[in-house]
Amino acid sequence: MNTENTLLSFNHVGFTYPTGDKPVMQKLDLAIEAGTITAILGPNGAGKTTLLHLALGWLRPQYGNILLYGEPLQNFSRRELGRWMGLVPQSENTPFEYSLLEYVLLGRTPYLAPLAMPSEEDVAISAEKLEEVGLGTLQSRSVTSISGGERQLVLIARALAQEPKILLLDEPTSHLDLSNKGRLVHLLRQLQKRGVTIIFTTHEPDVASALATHMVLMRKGEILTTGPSENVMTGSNLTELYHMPITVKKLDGKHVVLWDD
Amino acid sequence: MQRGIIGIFVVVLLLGMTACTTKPTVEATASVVPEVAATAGPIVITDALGRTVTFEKAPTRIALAGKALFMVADALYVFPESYERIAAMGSTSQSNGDFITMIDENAAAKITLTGDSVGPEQIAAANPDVVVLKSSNAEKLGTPLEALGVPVVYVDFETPEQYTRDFTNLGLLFQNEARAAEVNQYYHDKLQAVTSVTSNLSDNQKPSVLVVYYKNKDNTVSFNVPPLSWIQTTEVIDAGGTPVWSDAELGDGWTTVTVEQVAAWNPEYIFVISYFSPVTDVVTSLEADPQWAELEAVKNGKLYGFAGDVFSWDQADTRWILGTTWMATKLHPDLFSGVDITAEAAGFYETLYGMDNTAFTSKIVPLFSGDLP
Amino acid sequence: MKSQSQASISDKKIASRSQILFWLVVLLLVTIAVSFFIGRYPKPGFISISQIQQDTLAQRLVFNLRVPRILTAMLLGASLAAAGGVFQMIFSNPLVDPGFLGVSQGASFGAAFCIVFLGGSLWAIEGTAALFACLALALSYLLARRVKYGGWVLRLVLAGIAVSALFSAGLGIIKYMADPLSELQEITFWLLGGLYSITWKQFLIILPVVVVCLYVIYRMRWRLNLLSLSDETAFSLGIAPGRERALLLVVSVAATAAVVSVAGMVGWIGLIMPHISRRLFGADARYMIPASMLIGATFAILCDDLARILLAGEIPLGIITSLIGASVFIYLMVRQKLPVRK
Repeated sequence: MNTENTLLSFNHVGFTYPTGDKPVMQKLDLAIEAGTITAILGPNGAGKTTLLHLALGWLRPQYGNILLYGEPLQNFSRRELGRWMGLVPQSENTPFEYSLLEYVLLGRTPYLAPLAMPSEEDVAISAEKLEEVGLGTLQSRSVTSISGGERQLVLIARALAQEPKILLLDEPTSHLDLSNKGRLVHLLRQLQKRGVTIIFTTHEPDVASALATHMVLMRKGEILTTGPSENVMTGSNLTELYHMPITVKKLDGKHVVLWDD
Repeated sequence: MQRGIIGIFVVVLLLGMTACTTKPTVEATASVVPEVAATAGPIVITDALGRTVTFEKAPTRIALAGKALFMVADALYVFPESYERIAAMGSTSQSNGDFITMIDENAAAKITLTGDSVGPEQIAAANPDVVVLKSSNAEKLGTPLEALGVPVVYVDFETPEQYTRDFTNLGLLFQNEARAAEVNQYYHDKLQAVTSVTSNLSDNQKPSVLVVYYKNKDNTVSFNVPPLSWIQTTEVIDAGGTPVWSDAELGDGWTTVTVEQVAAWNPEYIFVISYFSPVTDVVTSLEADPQWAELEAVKNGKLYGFAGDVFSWDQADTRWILGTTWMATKLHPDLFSGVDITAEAAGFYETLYGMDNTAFTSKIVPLFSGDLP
Repeated sequence: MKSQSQASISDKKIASRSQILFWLVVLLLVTIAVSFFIGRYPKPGFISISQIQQDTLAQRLVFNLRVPRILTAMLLGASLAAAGGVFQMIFSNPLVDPGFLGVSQGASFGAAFCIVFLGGSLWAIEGTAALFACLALALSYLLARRVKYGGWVLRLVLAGIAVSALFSAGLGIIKYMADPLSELQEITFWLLGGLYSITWKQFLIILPVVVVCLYVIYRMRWRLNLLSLSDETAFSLGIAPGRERALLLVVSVAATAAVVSVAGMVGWIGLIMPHISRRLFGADARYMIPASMLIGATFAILCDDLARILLAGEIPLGIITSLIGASVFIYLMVRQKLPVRK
C-alpha cells in the first residue's frame, strides 16, 4: 500500500492503554497519501481518536512503527512534529478569557525557541489564520464569549498557525450546526487545494462522504476496509461497519446515506 | 473564606486566654482587711462570681483544676490544712518551675488531673467535696461539675483586691479565718509599705516604664505587652512608675509590638519577662542587639530581667507582692534603700509557707532569676 | 496589507500592556520607597531623611528592621501571587490559591515539624516546608482525580479543602506534642502569619530560592498558556506537558514554602492577584504572570504597612490580607463580567 506519495503510514501497529488490559488495536496497517482528505469513520469506541493520537506521536505503540515520510515518528523532536502536524481536538473549554488572537497565537509555539516570546510576525500570521477561517473581525473577542461553532473554527485557526503539512481533526463537525458544517467543509477543501493533508475522525457518514477523498472504516480497533471514497462508500461496507442495514445512493453525483429503513 | 473566619476566631480565642492570666470579671472589693469572724455553724461563702455556696462541715477532699493552676495552688497552700485536704490537682508547674512539689512531699500522688483537656467526669471521679476553680473556668468545668453534683467555689486571684477577698473565702473554707486574716494583713502591710511612699510622688517623679514579655517560639521572636487590666500594669503603678502602654489600644491578652514601637515609647525603664527561657540570657542578648542597645533605658543600664525564683514574680501568683516590692526598689532606689529584697523574699516564704531560713536558702535562693538581688 | 494593519493594532495593544507593566514596576518601587519612611518611630507616621541621619536608633530601626521586613513582604506577595497564577493555569481553575490546595498548610506543618523535632536550622526548615508542601499538592491533585462528584473545578477545591484541613490539624498536633502543658497551643503565627520577627537573616535565607523560582516562572510564562490545555493538544504544539507542568509546580511550591516558613500562612494573595491582573491584561500569562508578581508584591507591602503601623500592637498580616482580599473577591464575584480588554 505504501507508495512514493505516502505521507504517513502505520505498520503493524499494536497499542494498549497503560490502564487498560485489552489491546485497543493490533497489527494495524494504514497508509495516508499526501494531499488527500481521509475520513476515519466508525462507531463510538472504534479507536478512532486513539489512531489520531498515535498519528500525532502523543501515544506510542507497543509494537510496530509509524512513519512520517518514511522516518519513524520517534526521530522527530516535539517541535518538529509540531511544525508537521496540527491537532484540532474535539472540544476544548478554557475558563480563561483569552482573546481569539491570543488563542490562535498559541499555535506558533513550535516555531519559538523554548523560552522565547512570540514576535510581531507570529502575531501577524495568527491574525491571518483567523481571517482564513472567517473570524478576522472577532480578533478581540474572548474565547469564552463565542459560539461552539466559532470555537471550533478558532481551534482550526490555531492548528493552521502551526503551518502544518498534516491537519488532524477529531470529530470536527459533532458540535456544529448545518451552516457551520458547510463553512468547515469549504475551508478544509480550500486547505487541501493548498497542499495540506487532512485526516479527520467522524462517526457521521454523510460528513465523511461530503468531504473525504479517502476513507478508513474502523470498528473495534480494526480496519475493515480502506481506500478511495468511491470504492469504500457502499451500502454493504457501511452495513458491516454499523451492524445495521444501510443503503448508499448517488444523487447528483453525491453519495446519500440512508439508514432509516 | 473558611480559613479567614477560623483565623479570626482563633485570634479572638487566644487573645481571651493566655498562658498566664485571664481577664478579671469581678469588681474590685475593698482593700481593708476584714475582721476575724467566729467559726460557728455551717460555712457560707460568697465566691468570686457572687454565688453563695454553703457547706455543712469543712470539706476534707478538695480538688483543683483548670488553667494556670499553679497560681491557685500556690494560694491554697498558704493554708496548712491544704496539705491534708487537697486530694487531687492538675499540674502545678509552669515551664521548668514547680513549687508545690517542693513543699509538699505527697504532691506527686495528688497530681492526678493532668492533661490539657481534663474534663468534669475525671474531676468528679476523684470524689472531691469541693472543686476550687478560677472563675474563667465556670462554663467549661464549673457548670458541668455542679450538674454532676460536685460543689464548686470560684476564685480569681488576679488583682490585689481579689487576693484579699479570695483569701478570706479560703479562710472560711478551711475554717481557719485567723490564717486568712494573717495573710491578708501581710499583703496589706507589704503593699502599704510601697504605696505609702509612691502615692506621694508627683507625675514627674514617676518614670516611664515598659514591661515586656519576650517570646521565642516557632523560630519567631516577639515582644509583648500586657493589657491595662492585668496585675503587671498594677505592679508598675503601685511601684511608682507610669506604664508607657497606657494609651495604646490593646487587646485582652498579650499584644505583640515591634521594636519600633518600643523605641517610640522610649521608656526610662524596661523590665523583661521570659517565662520559658532564662531571663538573664534574654537580657544579655537584648543588650547585644544593635537596636535595643540604642534605647535610652538600655544605654542607662535600666534594662532589667524581671525577678523571680520558682516562678517569675510578675504574674498574678502569690509572689506578685514581691514583684511590686522589687520593682519599687529598681524604680526608686533612693526611696527604698532600706529594703533588702532577699530578706523580703525570705519573709514571704516564711509567712506564707512556713519555710525556715535553711530551706529558703537551699531551695529558693538557687532559683533566683532576673536582676536579683 | 490587511494583516499588516492587524499586526499594527495588536502592536499598539501590546505596547500599552507593556506600558501598564512599566507603571506597575514604578508603583512597586514607589511603595517600597515610601514604606521605608513610615512606621511608628518616633511617632506613628513619616520620618524624614534628616531625622534618620541624625538619630542612630532610627538608622538601626530602619536598616535592620524596616528594610528587611518590607523586602520580605515584597517577596512574599510576589511568590504567593505567582504561585496562585501558576496553579490556576495548570489546574485550569481560576478558584485556586496555594492556601486552597494545602500547599501553605503543608509548608507550615513541615516547618513546625522541623522546628520541634529536628531542631532545625533555617535551611532545614525551608527544605522540610517545601517537602511537605509538595506532598500536600500531590495529595490534593490525586484526591481530586478520585472524587466522584462535580466538575473538575469543584473537585479540586474540595480536595484542597480536605488536605488543607488535614495539615492544619497536623500542625495543631505537633504544637500540642511540643508543649503539652500550655493551656492553648499557640498556632496563631502559623495560621495568621506575621512579619514582625523578620531580620536580614530570614530575608537572605529565602532570597535565593524565591528569586530563582520566580525567574523560572517568569521565563516560562508563555509555556504556561499551553499548559492549561489538554495534554495531547499541548503536545501537538510542541511541548512536553508533564515535565513542564511538574517543573512549574515544583518551583511554585518551593517559593511558597520558603515564604511560609518565615512568615506563616498569609492567605488570599494567591487567589486575588491573578484575578486582578487578568482584569487588567487578559488571560495571557505573558502579562498576567509578571503583573501578578508586581501587584502581589505591592499589595503585601501595603498590608504589612497597615499591620505594623495602624495600631500600637501588631495586627497579624493574614487578617489584613483576608479582610481586603475577601472583600475584593466578593466584589469580583458579584460584579458583572467586563468585556475582555485587549
